[in-house]
Amino acid sequence: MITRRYVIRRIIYMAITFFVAITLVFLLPRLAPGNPVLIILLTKYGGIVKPQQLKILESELHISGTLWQQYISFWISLLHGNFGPSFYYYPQSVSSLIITHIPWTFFLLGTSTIISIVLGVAVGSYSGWKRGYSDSFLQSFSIGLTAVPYFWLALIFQLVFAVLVVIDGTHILPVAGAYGYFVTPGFNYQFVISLLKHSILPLATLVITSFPGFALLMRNTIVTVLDEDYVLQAKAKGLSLNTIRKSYVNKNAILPVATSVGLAFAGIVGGAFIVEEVFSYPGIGYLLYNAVTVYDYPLEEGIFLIIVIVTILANFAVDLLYAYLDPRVVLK
Amino acid sequence: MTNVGIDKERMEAVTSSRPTKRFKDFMSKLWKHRKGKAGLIILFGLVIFALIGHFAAPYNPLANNAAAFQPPSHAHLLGTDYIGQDILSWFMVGTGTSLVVGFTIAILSALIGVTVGVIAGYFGGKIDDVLMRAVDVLLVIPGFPLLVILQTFLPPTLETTVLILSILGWPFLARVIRSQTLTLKERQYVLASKLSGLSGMQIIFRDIIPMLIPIITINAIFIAVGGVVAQAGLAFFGLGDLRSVNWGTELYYFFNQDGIAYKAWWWLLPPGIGIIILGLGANFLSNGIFETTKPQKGG
Amino acid sequence: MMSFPLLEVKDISVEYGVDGKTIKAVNHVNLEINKGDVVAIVGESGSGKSTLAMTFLNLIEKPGRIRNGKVNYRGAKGVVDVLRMRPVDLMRYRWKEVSMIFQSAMNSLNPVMRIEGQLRDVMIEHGTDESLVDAKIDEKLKLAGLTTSIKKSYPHELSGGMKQRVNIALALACDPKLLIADEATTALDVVVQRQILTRLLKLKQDLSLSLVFITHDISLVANIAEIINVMYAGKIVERAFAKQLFENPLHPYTEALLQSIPTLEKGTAIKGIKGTPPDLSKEIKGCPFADRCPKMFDRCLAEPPELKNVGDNHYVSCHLY
Ligand SMILES: Nc1ncnc2c1ncn2[C@@H]1O[C@H](COP(=O)(O)OP(=O)(O)OP(=O)(O)O)[C@@H](O)[C@H]1O
Ligand SMILES: [Mg+2]
Repeated sequence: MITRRYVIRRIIYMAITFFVAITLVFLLPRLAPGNPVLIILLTKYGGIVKPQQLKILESELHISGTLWQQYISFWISLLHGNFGPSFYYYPQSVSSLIITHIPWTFFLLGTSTIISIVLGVAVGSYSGWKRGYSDSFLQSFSIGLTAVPYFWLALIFQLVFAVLVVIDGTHILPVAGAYGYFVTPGFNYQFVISLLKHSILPLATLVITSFPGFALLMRNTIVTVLDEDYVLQAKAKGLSLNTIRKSYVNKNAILPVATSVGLAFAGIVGGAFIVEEVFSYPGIGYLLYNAVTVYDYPLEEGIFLIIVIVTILANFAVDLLYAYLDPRVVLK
Repeated sequence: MTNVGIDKERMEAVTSSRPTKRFKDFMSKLWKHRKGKAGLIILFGLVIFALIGHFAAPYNPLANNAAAFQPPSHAHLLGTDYIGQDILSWFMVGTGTSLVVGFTIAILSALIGVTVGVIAGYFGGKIDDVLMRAVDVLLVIPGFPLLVILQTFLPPTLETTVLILSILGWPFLARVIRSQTLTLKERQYVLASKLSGLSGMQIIFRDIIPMLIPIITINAIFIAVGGVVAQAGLAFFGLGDLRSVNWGTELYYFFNQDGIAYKAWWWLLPPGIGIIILGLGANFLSNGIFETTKPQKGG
Repeated sequence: MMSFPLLEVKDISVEYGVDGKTIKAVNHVNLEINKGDVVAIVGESGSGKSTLAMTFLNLIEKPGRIRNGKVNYRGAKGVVDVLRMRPVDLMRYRWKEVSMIFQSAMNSLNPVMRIEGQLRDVMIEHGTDESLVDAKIDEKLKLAGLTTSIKKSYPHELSGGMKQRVNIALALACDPKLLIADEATTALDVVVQRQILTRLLKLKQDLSLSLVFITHDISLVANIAEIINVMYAGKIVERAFAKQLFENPLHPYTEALLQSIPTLEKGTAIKGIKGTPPDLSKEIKGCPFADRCPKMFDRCLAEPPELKNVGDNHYVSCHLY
């Protein structure tokens, strides 16, 4: 049940998590042994940074003044949505870079999470209801898939679709980028088709490696719930199989899956980032990869903060959904 | 006082108190369990493979005197990489590194997770609140970006990677251990120990942690696999010590040194298959441990 | 008047297959329940009471298996064997004809559904007119001694006694002919126990129900049951009218049960029954009670006694008679 008290509590947790994450990002570079931001800057960019760049950096990176002053000015610019300038893409700001790239990540993350949950729940409940031969097959299959690392699967797809299966010099499926070189972004047919085609392999990688977790969880809870006394009573009541399935089994079995979505999401984020790297998919994971290779620290920091915010909000949404699904939640 | 309330589990633990004998009993039970046995064989096989690699790999993995990008042949069973290093040797040595990485992370994470979980569960109150809030926070923050940020600011060595992964690997275990401790501390024998004047620490080490060993092991196994995969992912992202020979760096070089363009499947397959085998072995073993140690129900 | 039984259990046997062993939970049991009867089934834990009751609804599942026997129910269209009904007919039969308050009543409500919904779905399923359902829900809740306002609650918001009553309301939802109450009051305190039993008896009178009480506590049914069946190790070992059974218990096990009732008189110590029930996964050659029986003799170990009428509808399965 969603009550005001519950929502307020979740918001407080959310704020705490957010606060901790931000403080972490602030402190890390400053606490790292002998490695304050400036030293990183000078060693990594010693000869490259232009003097006027360095000056802007100093003020915008909050590396002057006492730790407290730095911390406060850090928060102030954060609250203004200002993550400072990027080193590498200077003078572009971190915020503008993130804004141009993040829709792609949202697309990948959102679509793959939803498909994974739907597929996982479907396969898992089939398996749990069926039992017997097809159940053990699906179980072994899912366990096998959970062991496959997504970056490796992404590389396999690359190898297969970029070089091994090329018919008459054309690729069956695109292996890089988010849309074709010759289409113009917008609401036109070519663009949408190109977009979908480009997303197939990245999405496949993410879905194949994340849905088995949901499937296994769903299967096990179905099996547990089927053993519950209230399901026996539902059968004794002479309810139709359909009603039992919908109102008694699935409604209860979905709960652990719903709780796991929040945690799983944090994992899928990692997957999406690496998949973007492999498929040169222009989201913030790809941006982060580039930032790492060129030591663009402000950009890394900005991306980290954004993705933390997104994850925290996603978890908040999941918590609300869970409270909606499980009337007992207020008591916990 | 009567025996009525003393838990069966505890009685068994006490009556067969010689640890070596208990371990032997446990192993023989595990060996009889189909999946448990499969898990043991697989993981043991990987360790042997890594040991052979350590002492008797066909080549020095870093010697680059063969031609580059050769497919598998008699001289190089798994072919060669972009500068003519022998891939089989690389893979064998890399298996060792990855296993050590996973093992170390599991031990360190388990230490932290068990400490936090038991303290939170046993003492409850404010400590519990604070620790569990910390766990919640760590569980919500997406691990991979956090790893990336941390690794950026620490020296790029394998040791720091292991350290970071250990520091991030424990929250889930802590949560599990906490809830187990909560139920354990209500058991009769714990209450009996309390009445007989044992201190909290004594009870934790005598009555609680021994009961948690199976569940700790199961979680540690998953932490180990997670650690291996995370380290590989980080290396693949170009972070950490890229000169270290392990499964992650193997994939990194494959991706960044034209492995795809040269269709070098022989270079790509081994580390992935290694991770899959490790994952399956871990899964079987933990399943075996779970089923052979869970309390018998009914009867 | 010779009445046809409402429910007639014939030679029923149920086993559970667990860990490669076969537990014979119910062993060739015969039982009749007539219209308007209040029948009790009494026995120690594990004697097979719940298992037997489940067969009335053809509810034995997975590790369990009905080995043989019939459960004949006398409905509007004559006598049918519940165990061999078509699935559709079974669905109609369940709850409409025979309903049950489960032993696990605390956990037998769906935690994510309001009480109202759990009454509604079964009413609709069994053909109650949509427009009458709301009124009927209120009516049943009142019958069970609840205020109608609790229908909006979820199970976790109710106390144990209230959940128990909700289960009574549920059991009455479709106006069944026979209601089985399996340890319906065990988890409750004595005052609430009394209240609930009295209510069930009153309902029986008002609604012309037949009732089956299942309990391990023979004292609980002393004043309410007309016929008492004593069950031991999967068999009925004695059956008689309540008064007769209390005044003149024949089976040594029944005697022991009666002696274990705590009384208010000072000086009469409570006697438990020595020993433990037999392992039902092993073959029992003679009488299952033999090794705990103070009156055991050679024959008890050699051959199993039959349940026989020793006059006045008093049945006992013991070589002494
Ligand atoms: N689902 C099951 N799986 C395996 N064995 C079972 C199952 N249900 C019952 N049994 C076994 O069947 C026997 C009879 O059980 P049953 O529950 O019918 O007894 P009961 O008389 O109702 O006992 P209680 O008073 O404890 O409810 C017991 O030995 C029990 O262990
Ligand atoms: Mg029972």
